Amino acid sequence: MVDITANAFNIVSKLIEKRESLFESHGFVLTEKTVNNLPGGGRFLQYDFRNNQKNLTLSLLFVTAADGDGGGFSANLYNATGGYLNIHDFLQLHGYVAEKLLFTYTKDVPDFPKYVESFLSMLDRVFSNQLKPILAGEAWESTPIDWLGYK
Amino acid sequence: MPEQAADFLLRPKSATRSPCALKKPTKEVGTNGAVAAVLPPSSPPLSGSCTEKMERAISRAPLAQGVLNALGGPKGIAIALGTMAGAWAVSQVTPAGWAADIAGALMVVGLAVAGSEIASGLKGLYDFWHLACKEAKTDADLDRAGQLFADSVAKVGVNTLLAILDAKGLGRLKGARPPVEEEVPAGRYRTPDASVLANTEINGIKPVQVRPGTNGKVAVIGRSMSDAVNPYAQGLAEQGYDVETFSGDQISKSANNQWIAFRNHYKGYIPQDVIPTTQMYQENQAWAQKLASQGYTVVDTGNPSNLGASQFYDMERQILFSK
Repeated sequence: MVDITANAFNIVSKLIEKRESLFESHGFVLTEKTVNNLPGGGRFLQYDFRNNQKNLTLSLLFVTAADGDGGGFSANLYNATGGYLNIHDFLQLHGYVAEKLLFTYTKDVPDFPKYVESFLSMLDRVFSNQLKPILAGEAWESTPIDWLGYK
Repeated sequence: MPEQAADFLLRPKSATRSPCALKKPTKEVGTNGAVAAVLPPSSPPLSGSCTEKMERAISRAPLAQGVLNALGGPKGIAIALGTMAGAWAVSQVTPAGWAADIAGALMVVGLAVAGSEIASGLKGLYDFWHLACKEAKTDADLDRAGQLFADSVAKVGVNTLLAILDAKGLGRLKGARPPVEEEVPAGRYRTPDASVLANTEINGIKPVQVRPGTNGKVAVIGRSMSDAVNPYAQGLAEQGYDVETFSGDQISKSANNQWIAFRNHYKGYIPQDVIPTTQMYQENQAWAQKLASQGYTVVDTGNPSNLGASQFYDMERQILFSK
């Protein structure tokens, strides 16, 4: 039986590690890669990057899409004072609809590796434009936690 | 010395408690550098009525004159306390006792009773009455009674004490002035008073209950972080309180990452039985337990938007208000 999650994780890992220079060009050095279990079933892949110069941590998360379950990326920035910025929510708050659409996908995506590459390219552009002052340490904007209506 | 600062004391924003403003023992430094305590002169046996003894003890209490005035002055306070404590003394012979009376008074002003520092302070006022009226034989005894009175007021809080006395119909007897309006100097936090917070409406939100605390910090809970907790907490912070909510650095990166991963995995719907197993829920639970154990004043903003039940909010109320 094919492990869809493991296959997807392999593809995502290869592409992220292939594009490591993308993150380095924005000051982020890869510090850790983990696979974490989700309570209730499921797993997510996590890459942590660190920008020591600006005291920022970037967590890039990936969840595999499956029947009935969504999938896609999350990218979270943390600063040294407990500030949290979810890049998807930041883009949504500022009206960047096209970019935020690439954070999710369905299991029916025709070319999964191409989807991942498109996401990473979009992230590169967002780092260079919308998030440039934040990554340069000149500004900060926390996004509220999306409690999904549970709190 | 009481752990809790009185209303009129302010805690520096450096997070360390400001020195208690109660009077310290008098010392004198001699020519040889030695320090000796100054002993009070011997005094004749006490005379006068219970109210007069209390009035004298209260006058010796190491409290700011403004606080004594706000409470109605030494004579007014003595009359009010005599009435209240006298009633407690009578009720001691019944199963109800003074504790039930305190509980009733606290409920009238909308304060939680469980684990209340206020209840301890009110018991201290009863002990003050007993010491001043029944036991005091010397001026030194009145000094001790005055100290006990000051300690108890610090625990109860000036505004809470005024509210309780009013609730018990003693406000006119003591001739108290309006509650103390605390001025908050720059660089300091306002000291929370549960009875004041219970009646503080911000952005159309009024607390449904307040748990009195002792550490000078205020935590806000409620149903909906965006509709109730955050706007109320922001308003309190603007008023000079040291405010905390379950957000920011109260939440670990790993708990936040897991929660965000859920958002994609479940498309925004997390099964009810999964919620308590999430790291976010468990850290929220630990935070609520910290509020209780560290003596935060906790403001419950309720559910002003009439949203559906929340396992997070229900858990917080269970820990902090036993509901």
